[in-house]
Amino acid sequence: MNHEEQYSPCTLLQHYGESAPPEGAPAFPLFQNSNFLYPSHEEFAEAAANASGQPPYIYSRIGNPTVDLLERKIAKLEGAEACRATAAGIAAITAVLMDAAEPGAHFIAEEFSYGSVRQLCTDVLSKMGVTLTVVDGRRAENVLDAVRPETKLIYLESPSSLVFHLQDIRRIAAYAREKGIRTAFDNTYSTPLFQRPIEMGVDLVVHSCSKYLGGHSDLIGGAICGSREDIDRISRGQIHLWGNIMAPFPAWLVLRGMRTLGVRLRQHQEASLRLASWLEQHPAVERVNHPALPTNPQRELFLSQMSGAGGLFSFVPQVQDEARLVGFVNSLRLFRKGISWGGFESLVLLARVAPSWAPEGFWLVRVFVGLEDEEDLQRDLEQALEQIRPS
Amino acid sequence: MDSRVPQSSCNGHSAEHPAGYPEVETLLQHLGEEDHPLGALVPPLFQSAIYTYRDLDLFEAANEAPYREDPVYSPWGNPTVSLVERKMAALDGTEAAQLTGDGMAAIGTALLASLERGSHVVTVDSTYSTTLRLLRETLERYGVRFTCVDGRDPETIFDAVTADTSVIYLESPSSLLFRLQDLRAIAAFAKQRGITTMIDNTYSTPLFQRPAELGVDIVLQSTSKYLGGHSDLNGGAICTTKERIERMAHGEVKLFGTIMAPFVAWLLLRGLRTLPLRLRHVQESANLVASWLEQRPEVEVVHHVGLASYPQRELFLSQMRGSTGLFTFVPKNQDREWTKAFLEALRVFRIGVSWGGPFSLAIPVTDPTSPAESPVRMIRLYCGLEHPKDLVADLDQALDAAHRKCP
Repeated sequence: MNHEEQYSPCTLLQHYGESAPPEGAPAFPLFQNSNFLYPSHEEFAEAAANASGQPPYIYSRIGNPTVDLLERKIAKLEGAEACRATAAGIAAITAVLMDAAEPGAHFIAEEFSYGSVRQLCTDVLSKMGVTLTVVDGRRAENVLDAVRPETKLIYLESPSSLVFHLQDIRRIAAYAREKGIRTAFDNTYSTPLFQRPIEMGVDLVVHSCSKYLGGHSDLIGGAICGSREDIDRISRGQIHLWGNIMAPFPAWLVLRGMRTLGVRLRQHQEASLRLASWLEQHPAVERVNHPALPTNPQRELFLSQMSGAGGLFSFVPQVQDEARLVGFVNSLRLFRKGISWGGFESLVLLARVAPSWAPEGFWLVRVFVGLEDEEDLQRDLEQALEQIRPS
Repeated sequence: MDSRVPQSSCNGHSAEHPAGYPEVETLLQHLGEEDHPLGALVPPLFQSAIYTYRDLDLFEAANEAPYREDPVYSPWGNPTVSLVERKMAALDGTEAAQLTGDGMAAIGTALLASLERGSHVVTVDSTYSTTLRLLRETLERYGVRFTCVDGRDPETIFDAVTADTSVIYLESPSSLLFRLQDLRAIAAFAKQRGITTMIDNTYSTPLFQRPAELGVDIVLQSTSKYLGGHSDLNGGAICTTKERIERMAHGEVKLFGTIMAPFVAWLLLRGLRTLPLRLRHVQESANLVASWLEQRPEVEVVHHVGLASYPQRELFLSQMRGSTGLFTFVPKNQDREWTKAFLEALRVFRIGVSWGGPFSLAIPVTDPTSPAESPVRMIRLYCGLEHPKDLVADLDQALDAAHRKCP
């Protein structure tokens, strides 16, 4: 439908790609099957020759109607030509890195990008002769200065993991495009509702669907968005061969989760900003890392490239004694101890980091604000912070 | 170590007081979820039909218990279903809950359990049509009589009560006309006379109306609507005292097998996680859309409890905490052709039954209290999770299209 072009994201979440669902079913069916049949050899042969993620479908590793709808929906929201769903977020990241890898290739990554990027380069791609430079991406010059003639990929994650630093997407993407270097971007923190990197010049966007898109901590999945050409090449050269495809049922659950993405993000945003602002004033807290705080040193960049921030942030406690910090985390009742984020439940993670700009290292507390009542969450933090109140 | 397999608690029907989590947003995410097997954040889906024991005494105790504290056989108590029942009871502020395979299963079970030959039921004339069919076509055959009244004035209900009346069946707001009944007054009247009161609370959900707190005995819900919230499951819930639930579970539910399947309960729980956010959205959206429609020259009247112009505004404010996404309007043009042109011109709203999910819906209905020979045509709208400005734009162009076709 042409009208779909004008719809707001909340409406697209419910309607895009669903103007004529089978049997008129608004809750799209789960096609939990492996293959698709044809009345004649000729029709099958023609379909097989043109097999892609879209109709005509022949085999669910290549394309499945339920997975395809999810892919089209994510692509539309990201403003991308195409999308490929994968079995995990890490499968999406790995496929993008593997696709750019060749003997002698050089990659650049934000130093607080998700840990698997560095691990894949060090443990696997190094055997192919791929080298990686990690930089503090807050200054775009750090990224640009690291470029070499053999640089094939700049990998960004903004806001970054754990410290939520931003990179200047437009500037880095423009420079890379000029030099013929591919850019890849992990947009899991923001989702396309809060940030659309492809519109700012990025080539490939990856997602962990396990976070906000799924939104209920009950599935693992990933997605890659980009041009039709890039996605087709990555599908054929990586996903079809490694077989790290998203299964139909998780895809169905992600679609179901995305129905409420708009209302969930609104709540995560309101509650996390409120808690982050409150924590900033608390004597036990040295510094809060939250992109949407007015005190964020990268405030202008935030306003220029993001339209909101979700429920994830971190704070650096005044007290840096591990035992007392463990006591703080263990005193929390509503915030549960566990990895990942993006679901309905509030989570907390104690992490020690040692970045290039603070090699001695420090402790931080990563907080994910779920869908509980904000006042209940604040009371929980308040009572637990007594454990690390500076004397 | 406990010799029972699996290691899970299954006391789904002894609702905990939600005092630990005063706010419903927190209760929904945490109640009964402190200790899932293996530390899982999301409760596992127990699809197992049977539950085995190594200790014969424990097995016999579980099997013979009047009520299922521990799982034995899935239809009588499944850990996944029981968790959701516990949550439903806490939401509704009742001691216990029973989930059923459909909203009508909840209504039918509760009615059957409260009636016998010669019983009389008083209900309102804008009760859900399938509920009225159950009374008229099935329960009447078993010797149950019923009377329909307007219900907006509680006296209409009191006047209809006879010596045989054993149930007052309420639906407030009612179907299609969204009329309210004074729940406190009716419940107090019934309690004095030993009459059981029940209400279909599907429109409001426990977030916007808690009838048990107002004195109603049995609260019924179709979980296919807001509670599931994604138009992808069918189910029902009965919330009431532990004693009543035990009787129904052992009786009607067990005998008719009107149970909710574990996977459906698991999806329902997944839907409940976002219930407050979804309701907030549809409330804002429907209020905006209904207020806008009220000003349109094509519209005779809008029946929406959330409107400032709503005739029972005071009662609304005294017994409900909010309005939701469903309402009707009466078009000035009563020709079927106008209705057809309007509905078929809609792009975001789709023509379909039910409501409570992410998708906006529209359907032609008739005022159930209008005379059969001259029915009043209405359009029922459900505002889903789309952006309200897209809904208004859609209605705007469809009203224009209908006007062009049927001026």
